[in-house]
Amino acid sequence: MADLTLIASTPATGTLPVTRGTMTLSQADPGPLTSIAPYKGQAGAVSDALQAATGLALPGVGTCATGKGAIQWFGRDLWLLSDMAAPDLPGAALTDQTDAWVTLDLTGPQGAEVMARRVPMDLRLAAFPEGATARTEMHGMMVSVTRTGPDALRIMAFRSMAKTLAHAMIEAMENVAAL
Amino acid sequence: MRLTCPHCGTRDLREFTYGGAALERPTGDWGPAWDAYVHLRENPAGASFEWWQHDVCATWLKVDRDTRTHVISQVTEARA
Amino acid sequence: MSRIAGGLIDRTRPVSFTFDGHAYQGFAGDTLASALIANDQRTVARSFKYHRPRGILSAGSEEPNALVTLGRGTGQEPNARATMVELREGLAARSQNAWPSVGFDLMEVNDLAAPFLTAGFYYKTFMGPYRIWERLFEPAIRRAAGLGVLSKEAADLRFEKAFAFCDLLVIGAGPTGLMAALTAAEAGADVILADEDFLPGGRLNSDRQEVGGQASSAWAGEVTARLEAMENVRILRRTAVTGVYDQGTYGALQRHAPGPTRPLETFWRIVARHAILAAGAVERPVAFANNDRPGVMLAGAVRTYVNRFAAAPGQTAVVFGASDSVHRTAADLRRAGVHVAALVDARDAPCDLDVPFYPGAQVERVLGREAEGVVIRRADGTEERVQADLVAMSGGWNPLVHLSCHMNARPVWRDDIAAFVPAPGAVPGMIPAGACNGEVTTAACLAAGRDAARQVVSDLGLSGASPDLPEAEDREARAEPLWVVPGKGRKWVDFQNDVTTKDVEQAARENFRSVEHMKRYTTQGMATDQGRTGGVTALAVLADATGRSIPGTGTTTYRPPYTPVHIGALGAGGQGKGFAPERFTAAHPVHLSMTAPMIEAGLWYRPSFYPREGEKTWRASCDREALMVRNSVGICDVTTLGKIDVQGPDAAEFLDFVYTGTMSTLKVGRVRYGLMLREDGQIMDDGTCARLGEAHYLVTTTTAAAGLVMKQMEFAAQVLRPDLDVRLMSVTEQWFQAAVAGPKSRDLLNDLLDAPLEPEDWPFMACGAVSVGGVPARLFRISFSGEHAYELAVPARYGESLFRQLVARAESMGGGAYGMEALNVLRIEKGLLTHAELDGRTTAYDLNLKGMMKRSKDFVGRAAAGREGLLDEDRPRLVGLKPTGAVKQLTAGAFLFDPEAEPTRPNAQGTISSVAFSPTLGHFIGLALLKEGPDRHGDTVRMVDHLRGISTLCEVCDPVFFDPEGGRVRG
Repeated sequence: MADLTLIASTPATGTLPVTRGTMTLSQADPGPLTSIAPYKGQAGAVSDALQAATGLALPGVGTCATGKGAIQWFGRDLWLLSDMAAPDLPGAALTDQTDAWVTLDLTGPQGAEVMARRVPMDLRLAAFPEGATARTEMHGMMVSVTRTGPDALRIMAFRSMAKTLAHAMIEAMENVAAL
Repeated sequence: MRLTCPHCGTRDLREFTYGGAALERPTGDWGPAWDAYVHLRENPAGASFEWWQHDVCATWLKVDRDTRTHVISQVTEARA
Repeated sequence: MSRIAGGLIDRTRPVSFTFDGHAYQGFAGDTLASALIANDQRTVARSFKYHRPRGILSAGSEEPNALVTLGRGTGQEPNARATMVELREGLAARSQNAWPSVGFDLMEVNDLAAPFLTAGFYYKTFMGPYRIWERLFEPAIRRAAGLGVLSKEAADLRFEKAFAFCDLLVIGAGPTGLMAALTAAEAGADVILADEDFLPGGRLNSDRQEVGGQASSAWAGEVTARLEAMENVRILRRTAVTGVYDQGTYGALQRHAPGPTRPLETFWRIVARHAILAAGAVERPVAFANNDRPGVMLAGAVRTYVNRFAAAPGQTAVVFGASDSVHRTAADLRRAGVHVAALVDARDAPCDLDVPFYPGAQVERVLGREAEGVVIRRADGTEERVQADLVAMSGGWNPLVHLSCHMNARPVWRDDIAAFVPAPGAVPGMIPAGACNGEVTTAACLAAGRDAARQVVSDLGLSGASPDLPEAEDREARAEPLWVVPGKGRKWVDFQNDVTTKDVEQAARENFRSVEHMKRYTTQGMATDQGRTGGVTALAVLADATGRSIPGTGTTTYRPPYTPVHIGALGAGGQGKGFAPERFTAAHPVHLSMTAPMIEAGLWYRPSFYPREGEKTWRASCDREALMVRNSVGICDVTTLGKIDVQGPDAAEFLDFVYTGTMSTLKVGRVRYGLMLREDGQIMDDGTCARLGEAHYLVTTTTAAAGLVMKQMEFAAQVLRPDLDVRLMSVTEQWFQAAVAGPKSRDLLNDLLDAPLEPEDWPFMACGAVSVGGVPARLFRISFSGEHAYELAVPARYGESLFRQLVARAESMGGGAYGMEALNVLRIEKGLLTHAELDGRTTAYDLNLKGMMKRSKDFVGRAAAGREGLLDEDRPRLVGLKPTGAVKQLTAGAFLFDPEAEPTRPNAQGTISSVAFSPTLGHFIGLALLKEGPDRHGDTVRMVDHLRGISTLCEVCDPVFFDPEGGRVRG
């Protein structure tokens, strides 16, 4: 039995924040993350239970909802609760994802232009308004993109790929800044 | 090429993986039906039913694609 | 200097550049081609095959002659078209395919050998002995032919990619495209307007005409400014749409304005609900003798240089064609102060210009190495020589139908304009309009652009008034087809590939009559310009030679790209670090600080071994690490193994379906080894399955197969067994996991964990929750080394810290970290499997694991694995090998033979899958797949490694070399 303290480290993105032109990339801490996968026919009940416990219902496909914490659609029959501990939800598979993701915030007026160089999706404000979220692909990485504000996008990728994600983003920011 | 995921909407090919011909898995011991399922494939000029996965949302899809025109007439969840 | 007044260049911004080392000056707004013309450079290149001197032929992307090399070394870019290179300060361009210089090129001797270098000569060199071809022809051809060369240094050219989405993509910003974009944009459509020029306007910038009561170039500038001010419009200048793909996807190559921090090019993938093809038309040359000489230029290009770039391509001109537009060229030249020595119109047409006029006449040939004059054949058959340093020719116009043909459609011939136009409905969602659709006047183009856009606007469900059509020229420019001028001499149809009318005729004579055969035999149309200038002329020649009509002869297939695209642009983002994601475990900094060489395992980077002072080879470190595990305790980062969380009421039944074994009977808190098959009965992957709760399992996969297994499990859940209620979630990233292996592993953990392990609670293959420094963790008593061992998992954020603590404690106990090499030694000593054995061709039976296949229930691969052939005793099956001969080394991949048999392929009895030097046993050991292997323990076989030239005798033995009873792992 030891007198032992484990020190937490953040995903290894390299040095952040970084600013290129009008855009800034920083590492965010979205707090505890829990995936919620309701079992067959349980989505409604799970949504109700979640709402009762947290005030947040399961949002529709491609959207997210925020309150005390936040919940976003995350895939087929799958949602991701962030910034709060998950309540007990008997009708769903809950999985702790807190350490599984690296979360980066891209802020500035040219977010759509930067992301156009990285993901095959239309992320302009009109097509991807505040509250929109999507799963997509970036340089071989499965990512999640959420619009958190008119000039703010949040990008998540696997924690082990933090460095590649940051590199890809900064390169795109540099190329947009150079135009 | 673009496919319309029933969840995510129309997306670029790079988000998908081809999963082979959409065949029904036989039951029971090995026999001609299994041989056909594992080994034999049509090479249709025209309608082709295929499994694809939308990797980013994990949904397996059934895609109805015309091999001559590349027109995708239908995409549904695999077991919709 | 041949700079004249006017033009659209910016004379306030002079630009210095060099060509072949000589310093010149141009202006902002020049291309390299216009600046070279303004500086009186006539010969700028050498031709591909005959090394004939070549000048600038065109003013656009169709340029076949003026290919130059830009930059040097890592920034070198060969085969840039001078007509497309925007002049920039310090630009250094060089001529290519010439030695010692473009003016005096020794390889011009090829031109004298032209009779031997005709169509198909290359193929004819294949006839006769191969050695002659290999030793004589091939090297000679390689030296003589070709264009620009690569620097052979790693390119330092930066490329980017981008995706764009719009309601309407307008391809081309000439009169049609500008009007279409304006109409759609004003109705509120989301519009992208792409044009390969840096200045939108197309022919509006090249011809002297009025649109909307002002100079056409001014109108183009005004509309461009209006479009630029609109939020729903994106103008992509310098952007060529290069290909049309399924579901409204378009490839487009954008060359960026010169700038040091910019990428060279961006490759766009544009998804457009609708497209308007307004690509315009390119002018055809006329085939007359020596029509490739410097000074011979397309008439429309002459107007472009004079009107847009204020650069006179000559002092005395002969203008030749069979259309009203050549009269316009003559008028523009006169206005620019160029002497027009002859206007030669093959038609018997009137002329209202005060220039020497030759109706019904033809230019028969060009005189001089660079044009010095021409021979004109008058209507009455007499000849006249006229001095001129510029020959402007026009054989009519080819609508740019290419993009309409990328989805397999063929263009249709229109006799009235003697040209191919896009077939109706050629590309779903694309409307061809304007000159590319056969329109010949500016007014008709403007109207066609507006009409096409109106249709798109209506299809989009938008409304709104269309802009008024501006007044524009609508005088029908009459023209007659003019292909080949009779007479002797070589007449070029494909300038870049040096193909003449004679070559096309010869192809027809040698029975390459199909247009596809003629193309390949002569190489006509196979150059970077894809036959844009001379392609239809070649068809006319072939049609004539074979007695068919032009539409009867048909066109070749048009394929992307429309214009050359750097491979770097297509692969943008994939250079260097962008090639594939790099995956690092949380303990990566520790591995680096311990100077471990990292090796790739899939996308992951894993430590190979941890060198210590005095260890000179990897083997020394590996042996030490393996013995450390056997004798005390070792720590290994095993985070990279795939981990899949399986939850749900039917989780147990689901796992029984995907595994060969039975996971439903596994007790909570226990782990079982499992095999997953493919549906063809071969093993897909192996790993452990831990039951964390009644309806909660954790599956592990090998590092390399994690993604594949997840995909197949999702397939099983969604497609094969949708009746089962189960949810899958990858948790590979959530957990950092380390193996703690060796006789002292429990001691180490008891010193580390918040509560000591009670031996009765933690038998072999137990699992459960523990706590480390207050952090909830998972512990699995599993072993890949044959030792008493555990794997400890903590949330990834604590991984680095935990690994440091584990290694420090292990080192204090005489152990330490071990890497992939030692891990491999330890597992081979125990006969445990990796993908060296699970190579996609092995079954459970082959690996002596037939007992793991349940009989009671269906599972993936069950039916196929039961096939007779897969249970044949003769199949190679897993054994161990020990060297017994003089050579004490085994090598992976070597073949096994009976000791007396010839070591040839038909006699092979099996192969070696894995080898290691076992420091525990003191000799090499190997795992092998040997025919009837399990029945041959004790036999001797011969290992022959043909590649490395190693041969030795081996004894066949049980694959478990170390502790076969398993006392250590359970102890």
